[in-house]
Amino acid sequence: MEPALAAALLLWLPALLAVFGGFNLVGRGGTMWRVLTPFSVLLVAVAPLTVPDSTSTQAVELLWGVAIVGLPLLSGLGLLVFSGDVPVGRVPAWGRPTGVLLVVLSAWLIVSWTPTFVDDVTLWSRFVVVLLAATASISAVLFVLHRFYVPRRRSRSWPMSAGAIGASGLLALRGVDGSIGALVVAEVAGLFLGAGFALLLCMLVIWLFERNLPEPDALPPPSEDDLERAAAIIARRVTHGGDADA
Amino acid sequence: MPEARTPMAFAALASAFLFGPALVLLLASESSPNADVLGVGLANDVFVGFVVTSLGMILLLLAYGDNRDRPAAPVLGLSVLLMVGFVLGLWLLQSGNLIGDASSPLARFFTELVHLAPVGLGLALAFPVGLLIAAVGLRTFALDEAEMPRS
Repeated sequence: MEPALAAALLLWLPALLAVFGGFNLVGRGGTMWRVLTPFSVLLVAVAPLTVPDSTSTQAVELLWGVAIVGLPLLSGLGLLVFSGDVPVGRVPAWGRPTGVLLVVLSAWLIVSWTPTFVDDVTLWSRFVVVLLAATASISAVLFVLHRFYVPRRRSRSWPMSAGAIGASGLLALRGVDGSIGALVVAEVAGLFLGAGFALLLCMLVIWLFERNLPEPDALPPPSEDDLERAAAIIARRVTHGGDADA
Repeated sequence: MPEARTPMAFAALASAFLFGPALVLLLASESSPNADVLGVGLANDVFVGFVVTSLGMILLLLAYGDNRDRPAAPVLGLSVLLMVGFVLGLWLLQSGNLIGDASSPLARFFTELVHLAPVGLGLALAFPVGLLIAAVGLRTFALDEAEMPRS
């Protein structure tokens, strides 16, 4: 089998099925997708072994590296969120120190580690730059939104500013190699431009269909029976609480 | 939010949004590459971004047409996206060497898709990380007692 055809069948097709299956499982989740989606994910994950000659597998090698850095980072932040003074889903006392440890470990990996299994080193460097710069931007945007639009919660915005400063600090420690700085910014801008254009066209199509919707039929006013029934339900709830209707 | 603060809020939001890219450009150890190389790369990125998002949008329009009883919506969406994608591709081919050294446009597309993997994966990881960082502060329902409620 030709490398291009092998890559199409053993990497790109499973990748497409995995994405489509993921969305399907979030929605209705048919039985076929419950089998096909994990199988497709597995095929994508082992692509460097099944189609080693294809250059496309570089993306999967990068994905492995992302998983090694990303899983402890997300788990650590998750533990930090659900430890301490949290109304629901509180984790035990070990949650906070473990979370801090995992986040510090991830930060150390991001700054100092370059996976040897990723053939093209610039891919990893560009990933780290995008991750840190995007985290800094997102944290800064959330900080500004929170400070301007959320009253009586301003003292809670410190993690967002700490996130923006921390990501910037890690980026300064890691450094931006060679000329990839301008390339990465151009890539993100181009991607946003193309994606935004497609999004705009899709919104235009939906708007074309939605603008001709007929006005909903006016409902008749409530009858005496309706009002009496509503009054009875309200009286029962006021007296006995919500469980009386359950 | 008082109206007088709206322009300031938008300026602050725009600055925050551009904070990351500006920092990357500031920390870059070398000057930017050749403008032609940058232009061809940008054209490819725009095209790949358009095609990949269009695929997602077609799926969205299929779900929309199904749920809202608009069977023509995905057909019209596909037609519009195909037409615009074709014109966009032609325009990009005219304006620069879109295919480069690749054997075919399809090969170039997949090469570009791999080339954009770091950007896609970086953004895909940065969003949940940013939201979880914000959630560290917002996990409690406690209010600032020092600040009076507005209403």
